[in-house]
Amino acid sequence: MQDARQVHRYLDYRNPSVHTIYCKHCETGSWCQSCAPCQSHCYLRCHIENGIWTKTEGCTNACNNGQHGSTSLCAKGVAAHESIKASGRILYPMRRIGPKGPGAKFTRISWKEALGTIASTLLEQKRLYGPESFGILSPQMFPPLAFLGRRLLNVHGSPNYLHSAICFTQRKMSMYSVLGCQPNGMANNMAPTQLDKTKLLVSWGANPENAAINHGGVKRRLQRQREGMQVIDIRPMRNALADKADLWLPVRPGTDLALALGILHVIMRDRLYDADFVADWCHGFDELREHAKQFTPEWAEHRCGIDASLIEKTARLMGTVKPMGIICGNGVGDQSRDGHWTVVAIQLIGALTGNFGIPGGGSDQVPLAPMVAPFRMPDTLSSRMPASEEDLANGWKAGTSKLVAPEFPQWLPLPGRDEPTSTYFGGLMSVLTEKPYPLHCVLAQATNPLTATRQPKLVKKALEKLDMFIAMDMYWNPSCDYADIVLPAASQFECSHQLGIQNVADGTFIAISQKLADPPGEAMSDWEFYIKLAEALGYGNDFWGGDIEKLLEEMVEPTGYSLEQLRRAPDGIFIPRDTQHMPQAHARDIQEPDYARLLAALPGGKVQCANDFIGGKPSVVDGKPLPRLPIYQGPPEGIAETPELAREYPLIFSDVHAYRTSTSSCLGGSAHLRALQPYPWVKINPKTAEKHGIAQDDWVRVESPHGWVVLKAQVTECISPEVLMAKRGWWQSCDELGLPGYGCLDGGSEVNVLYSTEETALDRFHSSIGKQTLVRISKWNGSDIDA
Amino acid sequence: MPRFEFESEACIKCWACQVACQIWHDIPAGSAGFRLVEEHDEGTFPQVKRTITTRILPGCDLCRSNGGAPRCAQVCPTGALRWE
Repeated sequence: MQDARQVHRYLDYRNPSVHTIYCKHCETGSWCQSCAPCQSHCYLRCHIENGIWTKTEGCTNACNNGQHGSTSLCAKGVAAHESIKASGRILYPMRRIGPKGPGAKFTRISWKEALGTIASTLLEQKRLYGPESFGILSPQMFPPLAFLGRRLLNVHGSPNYLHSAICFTQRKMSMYSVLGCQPNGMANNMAPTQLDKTKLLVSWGANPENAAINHGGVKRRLQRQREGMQVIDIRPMRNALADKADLWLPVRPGTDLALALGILHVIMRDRLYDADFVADWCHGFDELREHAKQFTPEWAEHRCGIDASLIEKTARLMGTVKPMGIICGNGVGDQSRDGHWTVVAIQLIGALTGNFGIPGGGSDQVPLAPMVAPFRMPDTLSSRMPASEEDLANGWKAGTSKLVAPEFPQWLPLPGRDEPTSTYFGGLMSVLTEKPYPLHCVLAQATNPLTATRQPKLVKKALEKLDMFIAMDMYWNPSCDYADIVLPAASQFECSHQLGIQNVADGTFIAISQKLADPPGEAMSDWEFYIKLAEALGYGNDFWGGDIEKLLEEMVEPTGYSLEQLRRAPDGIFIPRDTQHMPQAHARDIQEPDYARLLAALPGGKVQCANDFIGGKPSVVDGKPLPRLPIYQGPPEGIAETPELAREYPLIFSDVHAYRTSTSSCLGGSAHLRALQPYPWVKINPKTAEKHGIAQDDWVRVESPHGWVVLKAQVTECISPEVLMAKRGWWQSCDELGLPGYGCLDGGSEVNVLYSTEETALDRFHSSIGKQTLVRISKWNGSDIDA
Repeated sequence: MPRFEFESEACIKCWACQVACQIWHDIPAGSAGFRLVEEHDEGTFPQVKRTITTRILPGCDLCRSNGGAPRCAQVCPTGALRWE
């Protein structure tokens, strides 16, 4: 049987006959989503030459980089046209014939057959196992999944939106638990908005030179530094912005809680807290102060690797320079088993020093600048999720009791309109453990489960056992070899379905992605897929009768513009803000703190220094009571935490989440980006390299207690001799440069094989699985790299 | 007379300028364009100083056909590389 994938693997995008739109030479526009598919950030001006999209620049009618008229873009935006052109595009729906695994054979089927098969399977499984047996994987959040995918789950009756559990929502819930949230669901936190007033910015575990580069934040930070704002940058590697900071603290990966507790200790000891704020607005301060006595700078130094004197200096700065704001990043909050308490401790440092709710400090803005022309995101129809008796008895949101792998404690009141979620990894593991019940069908849309979560070896086993695995993607990723049905995805550049909006002080920019190229083969947009699948399931009445245009018309209706008008505006539409007729239009910056409003969601309306919001309640991971005060665990394998193991595995290993030449594990096939970083790299200190006989560009075998990978050495003084840092997601080949994709299992280059996924390795509050371990290394001379 | 101005302290080595130069001049990936981003590090961990620089290579025509600023300067997200 002919392998449909092989026949259509190499589509020649340079063939003009493939593209039939637009004139010979023209410019048009589209939304880039290369840094964060969670929303449309930068609008592109795209040059079409002889029917082919060949070049990209920033659209000056938009508000990229926070400014109307900006021309800037990041490298990914500049190379956006390459994102659709690499080899390996999936062209047609396919059904697997024969066994799962590498080299699996597929035959082409029609969309009608594909959707019909999926729908009939889902309906049969609903009948046999309940609707909750269906889960949709949520990697990095993106709107088709967040709105239409969620809507489909709600109408079908499954709460199993399988969130990554390693991204933003983890931090959000931690911030909420200590500083509360607003009615709209936004968690209060110490990140400043009025940066022009901030005198000290602490960037903790954040990576702004690798994500959201063109959103205005980096430019503003640098400008403020020129004007005298001090910066303390806390993270393992001396990235470019860390190099420009006043202080860089190269903390050991996974030990940030120790550092935060050491700083808290000094603040308490030296009375650097705001006594009035503490007296009026804090609960449990005395308990926390007593508890913090044990966390001396020397105690912290032993764990986090930062000299006690530097901890003292940092604490003194944080306790005396005001206003201070703290940006808390993914690395410390979302991907560490101490993530929750680390974020809590960091928020407490900010709040106790009197920097919460003040201009230039945390939660210092009430967002009152409405969009001049907002559009309407689809309702997720959460009211359609049936509430069980357990849900009702406990006052939980409908579906909570049926979650296969709850991400957050079921007793936690979800803020705003947040809906129940299971975890990505936990959902897949239910297939193996069958506890509390197994998922029978999983949809992977724009995600490769063999790289997007931890321990691909276990994920592979789950995919092998799973009854129905559906993969929808632009490019053939390794998990497709385990799919029952593979579906071809069109990018936002190959359809006109992606709406986006930017709002700045002087106006609002709205635009729809223009269709820059025909979708290859029968590729379908992610938006339209859900509508068509819903129709096949018999849910068409809830999904615009299967008509994507009806959905889009509904979304644009509040803007006052029609879909046709947006599509006839290749540069988008910028509407200046008319302040004369909209006196409340500008964001109202907080001038005086309003703590009663800010803290209203918390017990007693106070900051939880000793946490009675979550303390004593059962952990979602092990069911045992959560503590009321921070308890340091450190990484599951660490120099200070597991010294016996460290004799055998002496180096700390971690990885970067975002990177400026890739979007998660995507864009490996974009030639101009791949050429910048062609090989799976590991940053290594020269002393460490020399000790192990490793030179620049040598391949290195990196082995943890859980697996091993092969990575190419990049020798640098910008990292501790104790630490190695790499990047995940190297599965995609770049045929244009003759570069392979690298494997996702032992012997490949997928760093996620290295980390523990034992229950004890999870954050007990929000389920995140850490990305820190201990490894040993040797020079790799073997030829059998899994590529 | 406008010319390139570069502020190393504002450069984050994002490579947007280098990639824009290659793409706008139809230079294939893997081949050098006319704008190069480089880095020089001094010191020993943790006392390290990174110096990021950029230079133009022979053949740079300042994107004269464009009429405005050269593409590399247009695209810089931090304003480190400017045409003024």
